Amino acid sequence: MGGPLEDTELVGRARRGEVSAYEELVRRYQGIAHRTAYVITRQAAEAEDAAQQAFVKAFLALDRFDPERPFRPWLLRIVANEARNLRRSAGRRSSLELAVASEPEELAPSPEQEAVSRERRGALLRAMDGLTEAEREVIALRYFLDLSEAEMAEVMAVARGTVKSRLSRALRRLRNAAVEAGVGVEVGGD
Amino acid sequence: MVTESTLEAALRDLGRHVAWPATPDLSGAVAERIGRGAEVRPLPPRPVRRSVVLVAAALLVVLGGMTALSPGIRAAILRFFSLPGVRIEVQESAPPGSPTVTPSPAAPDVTSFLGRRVGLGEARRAVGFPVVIPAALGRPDETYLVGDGAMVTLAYRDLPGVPQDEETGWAALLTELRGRPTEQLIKKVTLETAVTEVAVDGEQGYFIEGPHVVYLQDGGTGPGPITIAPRTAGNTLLWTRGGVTLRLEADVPLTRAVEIARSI
Repeated sequence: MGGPLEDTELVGRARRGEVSAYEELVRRYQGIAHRTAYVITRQAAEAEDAAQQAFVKAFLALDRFDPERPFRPWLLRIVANEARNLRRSAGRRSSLELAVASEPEELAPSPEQEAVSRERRGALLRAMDGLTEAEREVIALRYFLDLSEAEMAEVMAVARGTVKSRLSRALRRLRNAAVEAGVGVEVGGD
Repeated sequence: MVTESTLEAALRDLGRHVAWPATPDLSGAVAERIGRGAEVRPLPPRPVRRSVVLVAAALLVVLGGMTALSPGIRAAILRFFSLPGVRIEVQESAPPGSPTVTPSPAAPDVTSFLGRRVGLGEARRAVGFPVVIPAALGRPDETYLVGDGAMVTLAYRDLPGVPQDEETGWAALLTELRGRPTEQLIKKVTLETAVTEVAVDGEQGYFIEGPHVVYLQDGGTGPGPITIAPRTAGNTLLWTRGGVTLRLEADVPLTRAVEIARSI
């Protein structure tokens, strides 16, 4: 029992009623679960509710989970469902924002360059606001959360081919929006 | 001109700078909700489902008040209601001083009126139907199984606004069983006990209001040995759902009980 336990081992223990094993899974995936929910709800409190509810529901559904399959995509699908259910009950949605604290100093050679980077990121983020909800979502899942195509298919509840086509369409629209907004050169850096 | 690859790189860079809300630690809250009571419990080998066992079917008898269960009194049925596998019999109040029922020694393995404590997963495998959990109740604190899967009971210790039953120590008990022709959940009530017909998600049900006696009895068509000692039960909602009979015992009014039932 040297290194961390495999998901399958933890899932097996959780299925046998070992709450501490499930707690470990929660700690392991609460970050990605919360952010995935946040991409959908864009309200931190709702995202937290959705993630918590999803973990409870996933535990109750463990008997139906195929232990041969990876746990994370299955969990994220439940998270996304919960997040969508909560989002229907409405309220104002915030846009994604840039963190005030940015690069560690060694990666930011000069304050001037840092300011340029910030400006460029802000412009790209604003360009994203011109996209549809679904387009923003697919981009955030792929590039911000680094989900695999298989995971995106679970979260979006679509086939993998649809993930590909939605993503490329979203990128095309974003590129056009960036060019229109005059940030194309900066974004491309060429 | 922006190429997709530079745009993708810019998006990845952007992703590293998004102000994500702080990740909350959910593990405590989740563990709290799924119940601390579930400890490591190695599962016995999956039980072979013996339908033969179920032929000696379980009868859950509920009597209004502390009514005695002598055959003579049992025969005095004024009317009855039935659900698949359930029979609610209305009878006159038992005269005071009637003999009380004693548990039959025929069932030494039954340690409490609920049956044997098992893990939820084991219970699910043992019974031949999907065990349902009302969202309004959530995951049970403990799960009990009668026999090899004749019925399963989910037990809840703490529920907001629901007092714990003084006798059982539980706030709510949800029993689930498959109604079969050979087994009946017989509930006896007196004229003083209100029995209300209700509909839960379009299926028939009954709400029994007031204390009454519950005990478990084996037998198909006729009364068999009592396998679980009589006890007093409180308000109870009985209903069916997809061929499964459910019985919710909790000190709540009819509306709340139906609300819980509908949260499945």
